[in-house]
Amino acid sequence: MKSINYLFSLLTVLTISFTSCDVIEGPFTEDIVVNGCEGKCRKIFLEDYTGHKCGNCPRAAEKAAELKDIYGDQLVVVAVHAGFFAWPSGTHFTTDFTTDAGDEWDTQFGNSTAGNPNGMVNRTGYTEASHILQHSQWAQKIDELLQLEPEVYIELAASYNSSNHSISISSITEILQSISAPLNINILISESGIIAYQTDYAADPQEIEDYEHNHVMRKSLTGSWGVDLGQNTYKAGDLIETSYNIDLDENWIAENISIVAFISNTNTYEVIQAEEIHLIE
Amino acid sequence: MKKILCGLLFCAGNILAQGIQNGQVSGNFQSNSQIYFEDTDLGITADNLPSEVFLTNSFANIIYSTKNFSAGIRYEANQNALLGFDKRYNGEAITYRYAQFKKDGLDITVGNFYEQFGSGMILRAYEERNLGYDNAFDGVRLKYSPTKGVYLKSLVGRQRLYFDKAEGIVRGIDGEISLNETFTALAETKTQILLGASFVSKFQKDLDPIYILPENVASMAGRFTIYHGKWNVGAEYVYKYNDPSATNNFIYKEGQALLANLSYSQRGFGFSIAAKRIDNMSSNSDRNLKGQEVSVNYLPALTKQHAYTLATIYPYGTIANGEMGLQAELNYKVKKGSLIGGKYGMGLIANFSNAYSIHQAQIDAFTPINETGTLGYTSNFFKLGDEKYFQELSIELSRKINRKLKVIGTFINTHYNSTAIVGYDYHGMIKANIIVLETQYKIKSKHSIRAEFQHLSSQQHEGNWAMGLVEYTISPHYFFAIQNLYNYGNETKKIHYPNISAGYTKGTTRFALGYGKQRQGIFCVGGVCREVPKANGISLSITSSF
Repeated sequence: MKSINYLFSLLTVLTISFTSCDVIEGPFTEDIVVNGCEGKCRKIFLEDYTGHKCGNCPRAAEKAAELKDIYGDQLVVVAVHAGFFAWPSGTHFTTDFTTDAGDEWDTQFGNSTAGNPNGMVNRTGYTEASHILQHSQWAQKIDELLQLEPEVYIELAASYNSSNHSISISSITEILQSISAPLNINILISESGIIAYQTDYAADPQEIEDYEHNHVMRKSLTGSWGVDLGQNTYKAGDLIETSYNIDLDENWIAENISIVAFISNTNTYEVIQAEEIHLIE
Repeated sequence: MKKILCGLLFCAGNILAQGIQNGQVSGNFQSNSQIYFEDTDLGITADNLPSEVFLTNSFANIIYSTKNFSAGIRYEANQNALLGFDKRYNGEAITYRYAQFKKDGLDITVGNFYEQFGSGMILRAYEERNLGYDNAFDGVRLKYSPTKGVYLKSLVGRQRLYFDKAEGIVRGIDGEISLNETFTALAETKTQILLGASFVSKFQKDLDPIYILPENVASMAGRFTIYHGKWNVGAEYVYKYNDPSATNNFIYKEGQALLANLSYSQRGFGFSIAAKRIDNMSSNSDRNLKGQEVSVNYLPALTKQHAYTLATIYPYGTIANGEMGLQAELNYKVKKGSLIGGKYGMGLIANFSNAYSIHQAQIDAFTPINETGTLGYTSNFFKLGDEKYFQELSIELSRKINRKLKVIGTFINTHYNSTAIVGYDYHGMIKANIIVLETQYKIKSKHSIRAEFQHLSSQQHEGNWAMGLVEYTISPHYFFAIQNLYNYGNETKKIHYPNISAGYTKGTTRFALGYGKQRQGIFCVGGVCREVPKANGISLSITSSF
């Protein structure tokens, strides 16, 4: 009787195992229906932790570009250059894309020590140590978070003064749902279309001289951890206004500059809303 | 899933309560600690020293066992993990616990276990602590021998991921038959034949909104081994269905692996030759994780594992996305009394190994090779690619000069494609010649001294290295060693890496204390590698067992 039981157990496993195979013969992709963003909808903040000497990082940048094409304005992408692969060195990798805030984020969240490339989507899962996501996991998380109703909305405006290469930024944060947590606002400058060296293990030669770096975080105007919005609880309808001025670096090209804002929970670091506008449309 | 577990455990209900008295407790303990210092030569400043200054990796296994039952735990405390180990190992927990019962040819394990099917190319869970590698299963395993010479295994489980577990579930079954044991007519024949087959399936939910991912990915394998006198021949072939993953850039191509070996051995002479072809065979129980993290299978490097320090600077790491290679080794003992062999004879070990990329072609005129969301590429099974990854020839001669002195000389010629293997520093193909001379001299009873002189010459990467080592041993309790590596050919900075160490052994307990510098590099065991950071510090190692 026992032998029958043993064989039964093995056959159970055998049967289930042999049926356990999905062969995908194509198509390999699904048609994504993005409902679009009209009015005050949720937008997602994607941080791509990268470096110009990181040979696998162009794959993550390609994924970020693919997702941006799909989700459009509902996705805000920032490339954070931090860690060993981002440090300037040699004769080719002389551009310093690192920032003080990016370095502090990298230290806090541990992205570069976990191995570039990787990223965070709205910094979710930080307290459970599941916040660092491979680029193949980004779409899944973005899709999941976009199902949620927005809790706040950011209205962002910026004006450029070409005579002194400076900008003025104003933001209005509107609370859409009651929130019992301290919040902070973060304002960043990002730049696209920067031509500089990048290592790419899939390219030949592997050091690409004229690589186009996009969504590069240039500076945080609100320090590394943002500016507190002033309360511990917020009720629907609250409006909080902030404004900033900055003289742009002479090497930054105004036409390629974007202003990025995001609101995060001060206690959990989780981002609950983001916004991006181009300085010159 | 519940059905599987019920099926597996149905037969185990009443036997687990039997035979667990009069057992014994055994275990072992290991602790490796290091204090880190600044070092201007190595460029280690206060900014990049670990904030903790003192780091330690420790663990203990405690096992209770009787004739048919055993249960155990492993407690790990990494406070915090040594530099070079992933920071997700920081912390403390019981990381391994199991209960195992054997009765009437049945072997049940619940909890954690390691396992290997065949050569491991389809499934292998193991631990290599020096690499920070542990992909143990947490689940249920059942082994059963229904008749003499027939061995069946089945398992279901999730793999360890640092202090967590992988998202995916692995199911597997393996069967092996020894024809000579099973069929009495073959019992006395000189030729022994072993046949085996495996089936492994892994499950991970598809939540990706863009790609249609296979949630159940299956692989199957067949193998044979034939022993005939002094000859041994064997092979294993693995086929894996579409498994788009972070490692293969999410292509839907099937994977294949073939490993074949032939060997001959007699007194004073032996040779072996092995060949492999690996094509898109990475397999992780989380498709988003790369390399060693929750790896389901093991792909052998088929290169010689070296122990000499300079010979480990350029170790080969298996390239799971595709490689072809072979390894041949010859062992020969020159007879005593001959001109070359002298009074005691002379040993010769010659080894040659290489690895190349596999042939790859576009699937059509418009799709680049390895494009995400496609079949990736096509490949001619018997055709090499254009790129050489690795080649090595090593010759070792060992000769006992007299009753007190033994000399070992080694020459190694290495071609190492650093871009393909480790992708660091863009040095391309590094060619190096390594010479090692080792002497072992017995001074008097229980006192011996061992010395090594090593030299690596290369025009690439960090240039030439020299190394000297002297080790004095007083058996069985003490050893003292002093060594220095000198990277005198480095055009950027010529750096010494001195080290002194001493150890004391009493019974099964061993203490070792060291002070010195560690070079930055890659450390590999069997083709699985991790990066080792540069460091300067004091290290303490304690091991014990009971």
